[in-house]
Amino acid sequence: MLLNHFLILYIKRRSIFNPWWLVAFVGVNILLFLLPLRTVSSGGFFYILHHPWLTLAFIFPPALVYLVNRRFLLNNLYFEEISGRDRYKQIAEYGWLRRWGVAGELVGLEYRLILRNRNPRTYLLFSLAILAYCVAWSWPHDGHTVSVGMLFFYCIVANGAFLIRYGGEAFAWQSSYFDGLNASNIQTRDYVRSKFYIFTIIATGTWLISLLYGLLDARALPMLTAAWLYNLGCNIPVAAWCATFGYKPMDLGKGIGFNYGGMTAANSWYITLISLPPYLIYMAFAWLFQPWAGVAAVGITGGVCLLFRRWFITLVTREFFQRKYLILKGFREK
Amino acid sequence: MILINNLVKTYNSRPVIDIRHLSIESGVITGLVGNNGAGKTTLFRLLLDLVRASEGEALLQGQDVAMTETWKGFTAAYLDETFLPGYLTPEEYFYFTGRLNRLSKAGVDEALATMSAFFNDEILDSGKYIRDLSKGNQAKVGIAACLLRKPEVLILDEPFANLDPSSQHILVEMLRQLSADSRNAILISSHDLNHITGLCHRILLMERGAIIKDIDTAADTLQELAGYFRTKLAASPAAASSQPGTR
Repeated sequence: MLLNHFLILYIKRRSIFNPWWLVAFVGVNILLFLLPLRTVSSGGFFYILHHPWLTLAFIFPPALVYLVNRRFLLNNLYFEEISGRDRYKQIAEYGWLRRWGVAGELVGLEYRLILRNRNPRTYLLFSLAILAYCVAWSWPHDGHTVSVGMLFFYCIVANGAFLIRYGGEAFAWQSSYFDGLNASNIQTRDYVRSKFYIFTIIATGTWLISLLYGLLDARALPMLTAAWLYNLGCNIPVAAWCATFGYKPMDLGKGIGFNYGGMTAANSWYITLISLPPYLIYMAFAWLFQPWAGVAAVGITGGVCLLFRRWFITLVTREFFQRKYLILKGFREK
Repeated sequence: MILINNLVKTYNSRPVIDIRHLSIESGVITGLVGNNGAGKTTLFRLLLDLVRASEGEALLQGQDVAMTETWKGFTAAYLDETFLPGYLTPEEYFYFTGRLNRLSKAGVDEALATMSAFFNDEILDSGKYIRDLSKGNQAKVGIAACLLRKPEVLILDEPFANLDPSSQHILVEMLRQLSADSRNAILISSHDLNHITGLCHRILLMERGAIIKDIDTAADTLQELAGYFRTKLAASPAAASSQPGTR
């Protein structure tokens, strides 16, 4: 227990400045989940039963991790020495985004926001970690494969993790300079369009990575594609629409590692709105016909809604105008 | 030009802005002065449609700011650091602003070259994000991003605050040159009466959300304004209680 306590503290402190520690932690957990630990631990337990003096060895790991924690704290008392503020910052330009005009410029702006700020960057890495968790949970065990329904659930979660957490606060991420954005030469429709574009890029990137799932279970390929289409056609407009109700500013510098992250009732109904409908559609068609019909229904729903993307952008723009002053006022409050 | 008609903003039934009519013509630098809480920043936010007006309208070059977005194409403003994306380098922000306003990279570089004295080798090629710059340098970034566009309407809220004396002087010259070169309307607020009277052709004195004096700048304007604020201080309850023998 002490070992877990000090180990978690150390990983948490490290991941504040380097989120890859969090990814490595999740990766190791997945590895431990997949390895035959039961055989190893039961063999070790019986060996210790016959050699009781070996129990003294269990004192050393927590003591060692405690000393590592202590040394880390003593060596890093000054924030600026570990924050990386003194590193020379290179200029990054994304010329290929300019084909989309002002919306493309805003996509580049948000892309840099995600990569250069702890909070959104951690969300991105966390969503990759959730992708890996889904792989671990759906891994065939003892010759049993998971059911179509359960596998589809994992595919929906794997594909939608980033959108679920990031999408609902689509405007709040830029709350620290929202006044400046609204006073700049940016038409609101272009701003909303840029949100659709950035979510599309991230959803597509997540889908492409998640296709590796197919190496473990080929059934995942059509399921992931159906979930991706649903994200593009339905979840992105829903996320953007829900974001117009978000008046709370977002702190870009705050990490989310091991923190609850301020979940509110508003967040809860947004997560429900994003994650429940595809599964309801699946269950309805799976019950009426068969499970694969449910998967196809979700994909077709997303594909059809994708044809109405321009209409959704107009709708979200109109909703934004209706609540614009509330959003601006809310973001100004610290 | 900037036109205000019956513009009122109330918070909890208390008017914080109440301007019946105000017209600021192009080619004129107008200064806005007033004590803290007079409503200067709120007025700027109303002009930029960042706050909903309770009544009335604000027009920039004839465009109602609350009804259209076309005014954004010829208006540039910097109020405070909440206008700046802190995670960009200054160069990235300048190029971003330039591309939003159809300026090429070369055009932006040319405009920035004229501001080298203003930057004092601390902005360009600093290798820092805007959030890691000092407050004064952040203000320089915001102001420079406005000036490189050569806008028809320019709004700056306390641009001299946080700037060192040399930079203040350079900014005065840059604003004078901008006003002389193009027919634009410049509206700035400041607590520095020396700069305001030295730079502005017209000065508006604001108190409790209303324009109480509208002065065409003359030789004695600085004295007039200084006298007004001294009178305000003498008449305030805080000043009365701080007099010896009043406790």
